[in-house]
Amino acid sequence: MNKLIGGIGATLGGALGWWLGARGGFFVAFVVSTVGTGVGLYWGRRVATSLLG
Amino acid sequence: MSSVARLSARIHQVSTGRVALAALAGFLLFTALILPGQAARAKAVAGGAGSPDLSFYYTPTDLYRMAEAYGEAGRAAYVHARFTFDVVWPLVYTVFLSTGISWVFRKGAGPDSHWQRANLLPLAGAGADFLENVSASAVMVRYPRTTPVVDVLTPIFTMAKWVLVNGSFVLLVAGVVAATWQWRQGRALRKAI
Repeated sequence: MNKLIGGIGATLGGALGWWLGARGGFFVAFVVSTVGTGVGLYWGRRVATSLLG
Repeated sequence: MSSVARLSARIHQVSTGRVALAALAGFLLFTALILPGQAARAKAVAGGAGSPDLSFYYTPTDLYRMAEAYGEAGRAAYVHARFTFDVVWPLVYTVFLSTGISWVFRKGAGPDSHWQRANLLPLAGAGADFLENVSASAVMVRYPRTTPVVDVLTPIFTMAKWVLVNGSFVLLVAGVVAATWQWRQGRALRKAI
């Protein structure tokens, strides 16, 4: 379950990062999306840990 | 040992410092010499309509809109690129990421750590990339006929590709940080002795 919620967090973070970076072109979207994926993964796993113990 | 664990161990076996460095050089050379030309050709084909490969998320309707905007020659060029350039490029980034992740996690994490399996993530990313190529090409080849199911799966493959490839880069950076930290700890310990 931790991995699933982490994966959902990574997807949402990646999507948000892509959307934010898209105005700067593909490369900026990719880099911001990568950062968003990492942040989303981290928070997803934290949420999963706090909810499921 | 499961087949997944065996594959991960096999990648570790070949991922020496020299191999990881050579893969990095190959990745940088490809990015500098091949990617800009390919990006320009893709832009010319797309003509402002966007490309499935370079989007994070799009709907089946968006996919058909792109197919319409490309025209017959554009669709043929798109499919050709998927089975030439886009066969080599996933191999280049997968070799770079897998060998790099293997090398840094061997330095930065314990030999029995589950992080040692992180070298498989880029392979999953390349798998999603190949599935995206095949399914998007099927939609382009069949257009103006619709391609049910495949037109829904294509955006899912694309999103999976980006999450897995982006995640691989995150792991590589995390591994570099962990390896650097271990190296500094080791050096401080040696100095103390």
